[in-house]
Amino acid sequence: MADEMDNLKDDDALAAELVLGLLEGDDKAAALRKQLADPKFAQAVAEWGQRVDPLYQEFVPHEPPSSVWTAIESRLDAQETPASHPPDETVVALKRWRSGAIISGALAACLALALIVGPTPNVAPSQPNAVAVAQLTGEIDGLVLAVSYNPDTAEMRVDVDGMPETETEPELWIVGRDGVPRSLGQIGRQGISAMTVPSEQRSLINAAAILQLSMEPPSETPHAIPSGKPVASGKITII
Amino acid sequence: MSQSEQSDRARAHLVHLLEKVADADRQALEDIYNLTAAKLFGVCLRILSDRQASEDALQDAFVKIWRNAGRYDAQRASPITWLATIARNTAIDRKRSIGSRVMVSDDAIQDMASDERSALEKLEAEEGTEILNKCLETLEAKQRDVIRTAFFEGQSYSELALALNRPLGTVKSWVRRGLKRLKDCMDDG
Repeated sequence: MADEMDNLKDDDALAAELVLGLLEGDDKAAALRKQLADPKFAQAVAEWGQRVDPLYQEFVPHEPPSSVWTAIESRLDAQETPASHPPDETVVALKRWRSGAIISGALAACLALALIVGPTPNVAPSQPNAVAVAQLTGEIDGLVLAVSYNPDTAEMRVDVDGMPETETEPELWIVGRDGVPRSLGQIGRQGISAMTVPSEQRSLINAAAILQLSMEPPSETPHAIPSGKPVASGKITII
Repeated sequence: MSQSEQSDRARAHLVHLLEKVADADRQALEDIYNLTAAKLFGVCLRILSDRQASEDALQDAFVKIWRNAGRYDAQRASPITWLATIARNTAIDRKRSIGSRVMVSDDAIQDMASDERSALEKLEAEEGTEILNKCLETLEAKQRDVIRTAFFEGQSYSELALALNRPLGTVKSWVRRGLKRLKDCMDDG
């Protein structure tokens, strides 16, 4: 390690590197997850964003051809975006989950979702790879889960922070449009867990879905239904 | 109306439009496009140096803006910075996914950096610009150039190391020392 006088603290340097775009691949994905999971780090990223903000003035404007706007409109027409506006049926379905769980506040609070386009050097140029991300929060102070999912590998990574001591184990569920929670299995109590999402549940990972965490008795196999109300939840964003 | 009043008004207008976009107002998105597309296209062109790729990136950027307008926080960033950041990150992602590795010589990088500086001198000083540039001037030339090239070319550590023909660790050390000095200077300033 070089002398401290000349170096930023590690997190601060990482925040600056993320803002400048110096990171790639796993390093970038890890930094983006950290931005979701760690408010202090997110603040450092915001501060570096403000420091370099004036550089944006140096980009020279250039009029794009009118075909670009036409293309944007047809893409939006094609999607008719459930992404930014959860359909009512999802909310209704959530209310069915166990004794009308009090979720609305948590839902509103957990919409801090990041744009991540997967670091995939080998994909076709026209289709940069989409990655799904979500941040889960709930009523437990300090409990935050940052989730990212790579559709190429079907790998889901969950970064858990702030899990209190309990006799139960955290289990992750995905709730699709039908409102039925399906278990993705139990995850680690702290730090990063990686899992391969079962093939029958991959199609559920879309922008209309919600991830939820419940506390369950320890089990090697996923439970059929959650035994209690979720302790954290978050909506999926796919970019 | 003074220039700063004008820019405050323009900023407030964009914030208002973003709020409407968050409520799925397509007309508001079109208004934002008309106000900012040229700037954002300039960002994409600078990063990608390719017209078609830049047009695709601009499309992607506005689809992201549509989906994520609700996440914009006026306390954290000016609207134009938020929009330009999305365009820049989208262009960088596209550049990496294309896997284009344009070899650029050391001299060329310094030329690009100094071109940018002279272009900058023509711009009117705005809030923050003066301090940032004063502080960038206090860095060693190689520190300043790698930081500016990373920002304007969207180059990663490994791309910079390749372009400069220097070990990755050397480039990292230039960047990190430069960033440390930049932060100290700006926090003092």
